[in-house]
Amino acid sequence: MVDGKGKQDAVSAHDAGGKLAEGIMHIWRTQKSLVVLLFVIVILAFLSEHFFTVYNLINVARQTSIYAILAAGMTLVLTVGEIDLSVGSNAGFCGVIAAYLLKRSISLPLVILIVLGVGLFIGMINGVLTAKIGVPFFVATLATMSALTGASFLITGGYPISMLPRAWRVFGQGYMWGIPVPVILMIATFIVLQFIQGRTTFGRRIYAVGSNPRAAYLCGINTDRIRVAAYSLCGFLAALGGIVMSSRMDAGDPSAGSTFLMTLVAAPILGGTKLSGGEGTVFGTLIGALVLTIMNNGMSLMNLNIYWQDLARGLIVLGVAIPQIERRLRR
Amino acid sequence: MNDNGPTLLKVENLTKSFPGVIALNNVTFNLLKGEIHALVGENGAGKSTFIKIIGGVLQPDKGTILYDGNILSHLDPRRARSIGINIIHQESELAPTLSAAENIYMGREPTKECKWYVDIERMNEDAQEWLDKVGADFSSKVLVRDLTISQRRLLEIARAISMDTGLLILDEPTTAFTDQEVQRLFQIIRGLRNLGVTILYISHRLQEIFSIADRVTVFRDGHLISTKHIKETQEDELIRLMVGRELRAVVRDRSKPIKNTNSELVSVSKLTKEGAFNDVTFSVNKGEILGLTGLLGSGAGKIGQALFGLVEQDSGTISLNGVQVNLTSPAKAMYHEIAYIPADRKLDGLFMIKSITENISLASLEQLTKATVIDLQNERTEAKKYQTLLDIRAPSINQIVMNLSGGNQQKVLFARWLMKQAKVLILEEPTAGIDVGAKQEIYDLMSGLAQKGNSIILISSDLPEVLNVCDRIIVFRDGRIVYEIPGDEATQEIILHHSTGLCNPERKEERQ
Repeated sequence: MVDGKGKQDAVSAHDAGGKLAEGIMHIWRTQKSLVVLLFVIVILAFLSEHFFTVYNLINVARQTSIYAILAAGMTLVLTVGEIDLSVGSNAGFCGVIAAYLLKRSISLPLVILIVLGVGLFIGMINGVLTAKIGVPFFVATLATMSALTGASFLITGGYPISMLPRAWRVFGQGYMWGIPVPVILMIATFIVLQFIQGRTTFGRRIYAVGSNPRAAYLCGINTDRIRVAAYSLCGFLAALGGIVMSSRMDAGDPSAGSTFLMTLVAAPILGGTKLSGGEGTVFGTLIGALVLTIMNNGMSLMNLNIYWQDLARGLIVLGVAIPQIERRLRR
Repeated sequence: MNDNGPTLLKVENLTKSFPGVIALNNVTFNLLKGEIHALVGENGAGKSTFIKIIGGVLQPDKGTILYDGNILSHLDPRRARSIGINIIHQESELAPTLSAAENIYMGREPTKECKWYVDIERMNEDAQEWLDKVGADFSSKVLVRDLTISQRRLLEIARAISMDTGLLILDEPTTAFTDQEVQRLFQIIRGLRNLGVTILYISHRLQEIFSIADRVTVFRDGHLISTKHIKETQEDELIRLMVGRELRAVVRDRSKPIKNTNSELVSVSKLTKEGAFNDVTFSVNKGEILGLTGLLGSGAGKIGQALFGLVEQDSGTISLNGVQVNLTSPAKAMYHEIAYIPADRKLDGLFMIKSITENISLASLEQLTKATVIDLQNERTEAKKYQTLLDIRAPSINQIVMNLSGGNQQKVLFARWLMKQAKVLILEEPTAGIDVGAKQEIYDLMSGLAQKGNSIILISSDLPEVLNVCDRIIVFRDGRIVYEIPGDEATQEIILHHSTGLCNPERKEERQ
């Protein structure tokens, strides 16, 4: 911003200096994960000759895509100050529904529409349960998580529905302009969500509700509706993730997604989203998700036991979360 | 002052300041063993700071406190309690899901030989004894959430005396009590005095003080003004001592003509809400600043909330420009160009971790958007405009509001509603905790808005503020309007007489 008026020149010069410092501080405060990401990449590039290959990097991006799409939705719910525990099982359920419908020879576009609608509807149920009825989010989404997992197993009889039509594979296994389709979907998701968060009234209101729900209400915001919308969008993205997941595995697996929760919370936290609500960006979440996959990838390349990955993830989340708590106390 | 008998608490030159205010200024105070001593004063006079220091909640800047002959320093609530100083706060500090006995013995439960094992039978029996001592009519096994407010108060007193209390401090203990409950509480307090407990009693209600206290001390603007024997003073004198407060801020300039006077903008008719307000009728003109005042819980605040759709009335109507409106939510009130600045700006008004810009623009986002996309450039320009207009002092408009001073935070809230172009402003305690300079700026702002034909409803318990800013003042007591007076005819005495419920101020004035 430049102030043209003469008498304000001194002010704006001071402003500019302040803004630069503020900008640097802002990057460090909000983009710590980006710094961590670069750090991890540099380390891994030294440790493994396989890391910096096009093949591996594309692989990393593809591995990230499902987590990242789901974590983007989770970020919205975290930003209003709540957690949706059911995202993973919602994705799994949507994958099962997709497989079930495909097996009954329903046309592919219709399947996509139905599945996205189902995901959205499940998200909306979570939102209505918490915002309108007042069930604590932990209880409500824990319940839907369990119910959805149960429903997935009932529909499939416990076995994955496999041998899906070839055309379905495009979402998880296809390429466009040499880039894996899931990666394109992931990038598209993040562009749209970042725009919603940063530029629209809805995005602004999500932050307001998460930052101070009572003040938001006193600003005339329908806080219930914002919460329901955040959960619904999260459910929609769970469905998108579920579609990619079933396509990638070429099956509707009832147990898919059930182990995602830790990653889906870890990625936003790493990316600067606060569990207390009101702060965080989906861009940060994308970086957070990349950090997590790259670390897993690096550990795989170095032939480390897979259980190290869980241990490392837990430690990383604590390492990011604890300094946040300290800052809160000092305030 | 008559200093007979041994001294329990001796306070010398106690001073405590907060940013922008000196809450206690060189206070020297003497409390005799076994007396019931009342503290009175307006809101912000320093009473609660004083008891918080004695109870170890706050640390004084300077001064000495002698309790039972020992100097107290670096006091904390735990230690204060251990030497026998117990405060019963206005807000109950009990755990609602635990029993009365568990609350009495919280943190010091009687145990069996094994220290890990609570002796529940003994705890219930011992607690019952304490409850009986204060004349409680409920069992020690009952859950606190099932008790009435006055029963909870008794439970807190029982807990205090079970801790071997020498000094019991009661802060407005009779809020929400019936007359009968007040009388019973007084019996209990007298009983405690006979057991040797010294009592410091804070109340707004002067009648109560005359029926219970032995001596009374008046606070005003952080100074201890006077200590009197209750038999040697009268209500008039106490009120005069309480209100001798000078106003440093400049009086509102009423000389300029106000546009559109005598055209009603808001009118409220027979508004009733069970337990909050009763049969309230008044109106506000364009260009008028109307003051609603009263003691804590008088209903003035609730009326303000009802006008912003936060409290739904049981009966009665609200009209704007003569048209009846149904205000069921803040969004509806905002649609009718009503704005509200809550008493607690941090808790209810601001988004502390968000920027000045975002805090100002949030209520007006529709004005700044094209097809739900926010025009960020326009948002900045508009926010800047109001920052300059209200002189919100911050290094940048991107500064998060947490880092602003109280006065600047309040200006951010004003900017929010100016951007929204509200016509009716409801302000609840708008200058609480704000320094004198910023107060003056806010008064000027209010005057300017009224000049432009807006209506302002000021809900405040700060009497000098109400007297100096308002064109008209309405006094509330127990949810009802009890008095109405033009601003330039009102005095603090008249308003206090009506808000405390002491009758016939005119007659008393004649006597003076």
